[in-house]
Amino acid sequence: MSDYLDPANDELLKDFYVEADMQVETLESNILVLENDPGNADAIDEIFRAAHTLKGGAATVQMNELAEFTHLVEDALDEIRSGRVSIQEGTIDTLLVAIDVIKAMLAERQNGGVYTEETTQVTAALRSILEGQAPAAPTSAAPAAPTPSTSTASESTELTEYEFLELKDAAGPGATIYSVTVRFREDNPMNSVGGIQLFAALKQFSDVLKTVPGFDELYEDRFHPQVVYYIATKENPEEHRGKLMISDVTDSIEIAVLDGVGSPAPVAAASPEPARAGTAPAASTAAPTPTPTPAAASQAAPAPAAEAEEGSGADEATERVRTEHRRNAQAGSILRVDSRRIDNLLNLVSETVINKASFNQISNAFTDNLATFQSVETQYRDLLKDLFDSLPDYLEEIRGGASPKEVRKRINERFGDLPGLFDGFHGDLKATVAKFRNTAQNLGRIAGELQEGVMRIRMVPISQIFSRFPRLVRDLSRSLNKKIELEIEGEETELDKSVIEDLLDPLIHCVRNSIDHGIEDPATRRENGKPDAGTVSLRASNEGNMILIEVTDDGRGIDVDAVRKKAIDRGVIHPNKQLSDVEAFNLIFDPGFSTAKEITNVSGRGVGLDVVKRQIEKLNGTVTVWSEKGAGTRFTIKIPLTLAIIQGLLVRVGKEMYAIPITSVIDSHRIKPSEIKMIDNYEVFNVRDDVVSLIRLSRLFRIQTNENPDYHYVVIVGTSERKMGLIVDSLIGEEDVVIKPLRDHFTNSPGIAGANITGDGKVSLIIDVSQLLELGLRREKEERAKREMTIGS
Amino acid sequence: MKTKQDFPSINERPQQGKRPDGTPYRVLVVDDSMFVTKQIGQILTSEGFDVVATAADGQEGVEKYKELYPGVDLVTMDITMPKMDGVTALEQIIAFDKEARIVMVSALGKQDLVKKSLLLGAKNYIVKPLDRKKVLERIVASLA
Repeated sequence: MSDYLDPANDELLKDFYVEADMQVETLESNILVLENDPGNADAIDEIFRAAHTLKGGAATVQMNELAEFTHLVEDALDEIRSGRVSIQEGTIDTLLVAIDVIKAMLAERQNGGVYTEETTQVTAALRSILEGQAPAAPTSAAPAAPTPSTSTASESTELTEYEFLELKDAAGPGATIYSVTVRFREDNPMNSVGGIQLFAALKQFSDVLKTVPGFDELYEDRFHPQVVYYIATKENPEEHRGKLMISDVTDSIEIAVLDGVGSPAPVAAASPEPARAGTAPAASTAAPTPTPTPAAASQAAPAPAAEAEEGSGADEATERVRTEHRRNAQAGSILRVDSRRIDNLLNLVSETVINKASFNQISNAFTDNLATFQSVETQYRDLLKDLFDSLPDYLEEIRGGASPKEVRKRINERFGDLPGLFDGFHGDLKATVAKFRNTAQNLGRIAGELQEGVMRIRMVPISQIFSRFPRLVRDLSRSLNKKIELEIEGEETELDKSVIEDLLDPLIHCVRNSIDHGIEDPATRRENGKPDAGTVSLRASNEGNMILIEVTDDGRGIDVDAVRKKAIDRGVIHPNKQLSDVEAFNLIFDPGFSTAKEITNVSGRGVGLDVVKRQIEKLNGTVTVWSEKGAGTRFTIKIPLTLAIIQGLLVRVGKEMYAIPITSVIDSHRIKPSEIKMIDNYEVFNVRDDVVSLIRLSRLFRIQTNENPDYHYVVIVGTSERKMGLIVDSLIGEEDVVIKPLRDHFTNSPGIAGANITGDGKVSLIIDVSQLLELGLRREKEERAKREMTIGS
Repeated sequence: MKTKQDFPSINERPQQGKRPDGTPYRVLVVDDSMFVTKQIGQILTSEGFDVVATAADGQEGVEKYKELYPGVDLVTMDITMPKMDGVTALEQIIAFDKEARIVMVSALGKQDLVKKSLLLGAKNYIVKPLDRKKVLERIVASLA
């Protein structure tokens, strides 16, 4: 079916998924708005529009199950929009469940399958919204049911602008798009064949771009009284009318030129169309029905849906948000960029071109300089040679009695301009060099701006992930029976796309943690003099080259003593160790640490905040927690704006150069070898009153170097609660490091995050601090275990 | 005894099986049922068509078509046949001669195969039980 609008067109599909995700998001957020403000007409319109567009898109890419389902949702929304059905809590639940089904359908399609699960519950619930309009008169519900006749009738007339553009793209150049509306005879014994027969006949002289109902439906053994074929051809279809009119099969054929949305102009000599009148949407006649009645009808039906919702649990809600996002990440090669950013880049590119021209000029100037230099030099040499050659003569003259003064005067006359020969050249060269310096400076500026500009293209507002939280919080708060208000701030803060994608999981984790462990139930809150509803806020802001994200709640806070006790129980810390509160808070990031008293389905399944920490560290960021007992908890996540370019501290080990991400460098020291102390086989070093274990990079990476120099340089890396010193030969300095990922067989080298090419063209490896820390920690634990064994025996 | 010549009205209508120049269209009938083959043959010859050959299965049909090529103007092709079904035979004939005019003959209930055939290039289809008028109508339409 190459001439058929190819449903497997990747580009088209990608566009569709991107758009569909946007629509689904619009749907969801506006439904949540409706929940709090049922009268919000804007939200209803927005929802309706999104559902409608989604339906149209789904039909275009032939996802019939999706198109049909969305159609039903759209119908239900239409009832709400027109005010025939009022919004109740059940309605919102039903709509949300419906959106989940839509998401699942999209996900299924994106994985190459088709959604096959039962949707009868949701469908029934949606229908009940529809029926809510007049339960007393069951007949009036008929138009809502997607009988083939009504659905084709309503769909044939509406071709969205998008669909039209799609058709236009699919049609070859020079071809005209026609809509051929064919009515079929039902009395034909094989009345379901006609749709395909006409399709085959139309194919003889045109490209059939689209059919309504879809091709697959035509193929099914079902009679379609009317089919609209959208065809592209350079011929006049009227000339083929004879071939299309098949006795016994077709009833009437209407051919129209399609030149825009919803304005099919009849082709000359088109036959009048007796059919239309009969198919006019029955819905319009059925519409004016008495207003809503009984909540009973609409309430009773959504019930199963609500149950289903509860059954699925809030835990799945987060899962859903995640998988959905992951899917986005996979397909997410489409980036929406503000056109001004592109303009800015173009501007910079034109500056680069000018810059290049300047360099050309400078290059020419240098060539001139060189030529001048060569000629002057030749002159100079010749003169010098003359001078040397004539020296004996002058000597002879002096010896012969000429006064030296006289001779000097003659020499001066002849060779006087020798010292000044280069003056002109010098001036020229100086001017050229100045120009060169200037232009190079310009280039530096342009390169910097280009780098920033390109980076900004990859920047997307954090609202892309923040927008997922209202639903998540709603579902969580319901399943936990807590009242929670979500505050979002700084949604417009921008972050590199790749960073944002990896940020969702940790953020979900933090928010989930806050809601589950932080916020108390309403009764407890009241006892403590807090408002019933807890507040969770998500805040994003810029802080230099970093992004700061805070997840704050006004819940019970972290119980420092409980944490401390647990840490001791688990052997994470020694009972005698004195911990500051901050250190204790941060223990919750330790692997396997969970202070929830009982395991709920939301969190506390052993997957702890250590995952958050690991993921944030993977992004070269840090996560810390601060808490006040009884007042609340705050998670602070700091991550660099982008992963592509980082600030690195360049160090040298032997002949090799390494870059350590500056974000993980705490400080650096120059120490004498005698300051290194040994504790249980490993080297440590005292920084103020702290003991830091040391790793020699030379040993770790097996590099030949002088092990006993006069001084060692130690770079302390890590976070506030876990540090480590790296011994290097020397510090080179700070530099912007462009990370180049290492391919395949290098990627497993522990402790290396990537490579970088420095200004002088050398390669330096970038150190993965979090991996090194883990490595150190593992070693420490092994040692301790070994020691305990020895003591025990 | 009166002959056809005595009833000019009968001859007024040109026979549908003849070209304007009077030569008949040549038809290959492929069907495993002798009865249907005969029925189609009678309907066609009565209208002046020339049934140049018949075949009892798809394979034979394809072979005969190739053998007679370009001596066949139209093929009637049964869908369900032993050895090789009509849809496969259709595909093979179209692959051999994409101008081939083939009309499928199908029993009710084989709608999906009829659709498939039409998409593969069959010109039309006839439903069994055969109706003289419809058979002629569809075959003539396919020759246009």
